Amino acid sequence: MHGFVGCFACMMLSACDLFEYHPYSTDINGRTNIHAESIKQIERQCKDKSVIRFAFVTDTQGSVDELKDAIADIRKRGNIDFIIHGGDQSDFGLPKEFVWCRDILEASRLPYVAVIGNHDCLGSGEYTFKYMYGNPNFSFNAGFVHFICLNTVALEYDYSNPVPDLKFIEADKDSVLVLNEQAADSIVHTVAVMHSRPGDEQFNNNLTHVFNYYLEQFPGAGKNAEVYDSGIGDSGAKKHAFCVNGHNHCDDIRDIFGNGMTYYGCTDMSKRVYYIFTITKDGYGYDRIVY
Amino acid sequence: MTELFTKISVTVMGLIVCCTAAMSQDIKENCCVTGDCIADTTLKSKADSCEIERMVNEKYHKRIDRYMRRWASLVPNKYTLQYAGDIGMLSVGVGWGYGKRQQWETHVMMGYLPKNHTPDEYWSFTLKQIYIPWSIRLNRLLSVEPLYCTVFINSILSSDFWTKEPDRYPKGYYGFSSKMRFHVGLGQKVTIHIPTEKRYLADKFSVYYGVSTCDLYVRQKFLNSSIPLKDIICLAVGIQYTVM
Repeated sequence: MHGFVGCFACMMLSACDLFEYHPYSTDINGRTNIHAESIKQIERQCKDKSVIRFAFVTDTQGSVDELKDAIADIRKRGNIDFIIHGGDQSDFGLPKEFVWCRDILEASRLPYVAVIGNHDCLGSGEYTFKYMYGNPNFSFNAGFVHFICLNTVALEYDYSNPVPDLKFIEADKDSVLVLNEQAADSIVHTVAVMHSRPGDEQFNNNLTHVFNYYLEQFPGAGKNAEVYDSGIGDSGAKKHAFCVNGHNHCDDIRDIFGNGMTYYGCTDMSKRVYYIFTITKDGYGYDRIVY
Repeated sequence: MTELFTKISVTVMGLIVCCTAAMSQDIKENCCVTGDCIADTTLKSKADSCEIERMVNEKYHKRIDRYMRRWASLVPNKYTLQYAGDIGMLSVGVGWGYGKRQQWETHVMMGYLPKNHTPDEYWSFTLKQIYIPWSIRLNRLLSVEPLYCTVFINSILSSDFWTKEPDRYPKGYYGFSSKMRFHVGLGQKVTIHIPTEKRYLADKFSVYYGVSTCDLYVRQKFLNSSIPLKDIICLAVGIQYTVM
C-alpha cells in the first residue's frame, strides 16, 4: 500500500514538471543568475594563475547534441579554466532551449558565462536570458586578463536601446584602470566577447569607430599594446587585446580596424568545432578544435 | 315579366355578394368555408386553393425552422476551464460540440500567462479542434472518452512577438513566426451525466487531461536525440461544462 502511495506521489511530482504554461513561459526550473556565481568562481580560481585558458563555443541554435559532445570533449581536456558561450544558445528564443544549453554547460563542471545573441532575443528570450544569466553586459578579471562581455545585437532593439552600451564600456574601462593604479600591471590583457561584431548587420554600424576607440583604451590594446608574435597555439598570434565573436557561422579572423585588435569570428556548433584561447603575460594563442 | 326579371337579377346579385363575402372570409381565416349559398363546384376549387396555401405555408415554416436551427447551432454549448497546456496558466473558453455522435468539438479560448520574469503578463488566444473517436457509456451517470485527438493554434497577444518579421530585418532573416504556435495532442475525458431532475443548465460535466507538443519542440527533438522526450511534452488538465 505504501509502495503504491509512493509510486503515485512520484508520478504526480514528475507530472508537475510537465505542466507548462506556454512554450515562451519564462517559468523555468534549475540554476539562474549564473553569471554572479560563475564570475566569483572564475576570479577566485584564476587569481594567481600565469596561464589563462578558456574554451569558446557559440551559436548552438538547436545543435544541442553537438554542444553536448563539445562540452564532453572540453571536460576531458582537464586544463580549461572556464567556458564562454558566444550567444545564440537558442534558435527561437524558447526558454526550454536555454535550459537544454544550460544543463549541458553545467555538466562541464566548469564555470561558464554567455553573451546574448540575436536569436536569444526572440519572443521572451531576452527576459529568459536575463533571468538565467544576469545582465547581458558584464565583465570580470581572470587573473591578469580582463574580460568584457557585451550585448552587440542592436538590430533586435531596432537601435532604440544603447547597444553596444558605451556608458557601460567607459565605466568598465575606468574600473580596470583604477585596479592598475592600485597595483601596477595587475591587468595586462583584455578580451572583448560579443555575439555580432562591427560590420555585421546586427551591429549598430554607426558606432563602429567609436566602439573601436573605446576598446582601444583597455589594457593590452591601442597605445597600451605591445605587438609581437607569441608563437602560442595554432595561430602564432600576437600580444595584443583581442575580440571573440560568433554570429556569422563561419571562421573569420580579421584585424577589422588595422590596429592590431584581431576579431576571432568563430563558427557555429553544427560544424562540430570549438575554440581554445590560451593567454599568458607574454601573449596569447588560439586553437581550433574539431571533435 | 319585368317583375320576374327583377327578382332573378336580385337573386343572382345576392348570390354573387354572398360568394364574395364567403371567399374573403375564407382567405382571412385560412380555412375552408361552409355555406349553403355556395355551389358544389365553387367549394371544390376553394378546397384546392386552401391545400396549396397550406403546403406553401408548411414549406415556409420548415424554412424558418431550418433558419432558426442554423443560427441556434452557433450558440455555444461547452464552457471550459483549463490549467497549463501551453496556452496559458489558466484558460477559459467557449466551444461547440457537433456531429452525429457529438464527436467533433471546436473551442476558442483565452489564456492568461503571469509575469514570471517578463515585464508584462501575456494573454493568448487559442483555436482548438477536437476529435473524439469513441465515447463509452459506463452507466446512467458516467461515460468515458478513452482517447481524444486535438490540434490547436495559439497566438500570444503581445508586441514582443510577431507573425511576420518586422521591417527592420532583411527579408527571410528568421523565417518563422514567434507569435503563432501549432500544437497537436492526445487526451482522455470522463463525463458525468447529470440526471434530468437535478439539472440546472448543464446536462454534462467533464474532467479531462491531455498531453501536447508544439511545432518548434518537434523540430528540435527531431534534430537532437539527446533532448529528453518529457521536455517537449506538456500536460494540461481541465473541466468542461456542457449545456444542451
